[in-house]
Amino acid sequence: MKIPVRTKAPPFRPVERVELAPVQTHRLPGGIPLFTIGGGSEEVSRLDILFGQTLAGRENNMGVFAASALLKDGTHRRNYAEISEELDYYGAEVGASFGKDNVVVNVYILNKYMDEVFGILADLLHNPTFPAEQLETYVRNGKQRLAVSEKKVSYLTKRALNETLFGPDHRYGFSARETDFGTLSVEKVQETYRSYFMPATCRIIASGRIDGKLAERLAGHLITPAWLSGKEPGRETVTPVFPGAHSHREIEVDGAVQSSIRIGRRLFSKTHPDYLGMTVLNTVLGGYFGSRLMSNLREDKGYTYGVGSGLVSLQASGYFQVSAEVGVEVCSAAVEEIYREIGRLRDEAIPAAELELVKNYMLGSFLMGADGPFAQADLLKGVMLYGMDYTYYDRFIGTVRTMQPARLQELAQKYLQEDDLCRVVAGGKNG
Amino acid sequence: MIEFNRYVLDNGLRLLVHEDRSTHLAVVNLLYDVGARDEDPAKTGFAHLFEHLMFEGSENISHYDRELEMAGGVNNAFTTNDVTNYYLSLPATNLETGLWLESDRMLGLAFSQGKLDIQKNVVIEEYKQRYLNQPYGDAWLLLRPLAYKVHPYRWPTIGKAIAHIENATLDDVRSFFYTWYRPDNAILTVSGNVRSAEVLELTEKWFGDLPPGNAPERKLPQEPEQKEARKETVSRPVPYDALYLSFHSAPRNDAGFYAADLLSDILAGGKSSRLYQALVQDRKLFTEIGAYTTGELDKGMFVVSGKLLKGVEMNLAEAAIEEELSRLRNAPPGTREVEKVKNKIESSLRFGYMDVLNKAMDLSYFELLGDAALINREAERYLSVTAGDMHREAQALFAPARSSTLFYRSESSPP
Repeated sequence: MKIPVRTKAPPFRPVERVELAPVQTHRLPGGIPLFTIGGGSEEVSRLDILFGQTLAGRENNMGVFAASALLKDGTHRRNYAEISEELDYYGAEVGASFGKDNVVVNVYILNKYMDEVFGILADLLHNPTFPAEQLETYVRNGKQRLAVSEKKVSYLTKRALNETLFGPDHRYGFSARETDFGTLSVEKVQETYRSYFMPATCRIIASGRIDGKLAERLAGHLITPAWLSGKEPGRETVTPVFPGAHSHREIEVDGAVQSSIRIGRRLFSKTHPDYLGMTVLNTVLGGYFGSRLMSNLREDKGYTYGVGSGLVSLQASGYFQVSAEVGVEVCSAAVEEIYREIGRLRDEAIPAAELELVKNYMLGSFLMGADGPFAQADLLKGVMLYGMDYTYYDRFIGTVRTMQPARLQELAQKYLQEDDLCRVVAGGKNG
Repeated sequence: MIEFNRYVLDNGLRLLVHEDRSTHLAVVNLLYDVGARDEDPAKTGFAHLFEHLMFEGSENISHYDRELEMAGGVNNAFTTNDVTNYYLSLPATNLETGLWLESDRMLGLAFSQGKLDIQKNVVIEEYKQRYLNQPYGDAWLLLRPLAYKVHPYRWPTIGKAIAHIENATLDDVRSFFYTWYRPDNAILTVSGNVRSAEVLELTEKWFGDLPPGNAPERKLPQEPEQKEARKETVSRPVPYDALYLSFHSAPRNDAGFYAADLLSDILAGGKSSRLYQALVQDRKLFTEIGAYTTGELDKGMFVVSGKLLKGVEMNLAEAAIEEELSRLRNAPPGTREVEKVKNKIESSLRFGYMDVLNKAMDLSYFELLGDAALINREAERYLSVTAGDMHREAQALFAPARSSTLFYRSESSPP
């Protein structure tokens, strides 16, 4: 038996490249692009059907939320229970969700029932009715869920920070308030559906165990002349104007034993030349378990169960934020430590050993996030929205591998000045 | 079919290897056969607190996370009432790093009062974040002691009370470790782009010289049969009333579990389910409703829970659930309804096994249940349940006299 030397780490190799399965591009009738990514050990597959275009105003945002949520709640041929029963019967899952820039309809399919599921899917997309009774349920339950969310300190700061950064009416800053539910009507949802879920903006990614005939089968069910004749998408003609000044807000919540802290600023999308560098800087600060924020606030001081930072890319913007839930009695101290850690990024070069660890971690995580056809479909979605392709990920790997401490410090000085950061705290009275 | 090789080291450590060439990753999953049910009733929450300490440095390695991150890996762990499970994923080429790390923390921990104190704070903040500072967050802290009077499932993994966490001592930590965290009380699974022979050799190298332990034979007090319905009412600063109804359901490895799990889908799996259609959509009593089995190693819980629509009387909501349960007691579910919930299960099993980590976790867990090969019988065990089985299970399960109901009232609703 080999004798282990326990005091020294066994040799390991950092990730240098990540192989992604090839993406096949097909064009369905009407010019709708279909991308396929094969792989996986089970006879299952997934479709991601993307629709996207920009709509201004609270009412339109509300309409897209409702249309997504109610897509499965009735067609000219099936009522909500029949749709749900049939999908369940075929072991399929359909879900539509509205992200800030598009709606994604996810379809999980047992391959042996692929044609049956395509048939139901076509009915959902071609003939949704958004029945009044289902809309009432959505509004009734939506208002109650909102009232429950408003009891959560982390929800309050999330909403407040988004509104601060992007304004409450832009889709990036929008969160539904109780009054917004009142703007919904069957006609409004139908109208929103017709103008948002259009073939002209539709793109489809199919991943998993899929065969070459998929495009034909899908087209046979989904693409009909009536559907393709939907109207042309509108365009956002005005460049959005976001709020300017930074601000600090405190929201008092009676009886809270923890406070939620969010500190952040508006930044840019992943097409910006500094974006990749900022992902490295963000990881150092709060992007992994061993990050500076976690080491300081959790592992050294025990202020919190979890603290982290994130960088979010949006089509027309983006933002950076730090968030934590901490005991009310240590809230001020925690805020101070967060600023201290951000300050250290501006004032000191990151030590080489720490940066090496972050690089290895980021590349390893990327490898994990690229594992299997579904994960790779997500990677494709993550660049398609920006008009980019997989070469973005080559740049990501290259940037991470060659990143230098001086460059990171420069980025911190440029983008993480304390005066540029907004702050929201919700919770009990500060001790 | 998930193929695997099984080995047992001389010190009793069980090793399962599943080779999957479709991935570049390797997963190391290490299950310890100890959970919250093994805790002293006066020191609850300890298994979970201990899980935190496993990340605070071991005999030869001061920073577990740092070493793993350096090799491009990520990890996490969870504690349940039954088990404590640690898992990591990393590039398959760096598998040995994972085994080095896991073996060193099985060898010994860097016990220290300072680290214990910090992690107590972290866990107390976790307690607040997840159970006290969330609307309805303490429901399970109340429901478990209502449903169980004797069995240790009567407390949640986070612990009965914050004081129990505050009172943990370094001696408790040491004795827990040497009692439970021994190779013969653990099941190691390695899955991913690995070769069995090589994994076995590396496992022998890193784990082979660890001494076996002497975990006590488990003699948990079993819950006596419940004779009458239990009810508890609390008032909390939440916007709406909620209701939690619990029955004792079959252990995870019993045929009854599979019937009960399918029943939970008949009741509340999606919008075509009985409770959703009847109580949310048609009668408008609830805004959301769910049903699930906890699937624990001893007799677990079958829970129906929902949030009431504002203004609905609690007793009306309760009676409406009972009406649906009585329908299941009175007649077997229909053929197509049964096929539907089985297909749904088959689908979730298949999608689950697209993921190399899930396969590793399940291999360890089924080995604990008695045979890792059960992983390949799981679908069949669900599919072999008949409508008649489900009918019988419903009659045994949903006996009103064996129910425990928590009425979780909003302080703002009328008394």
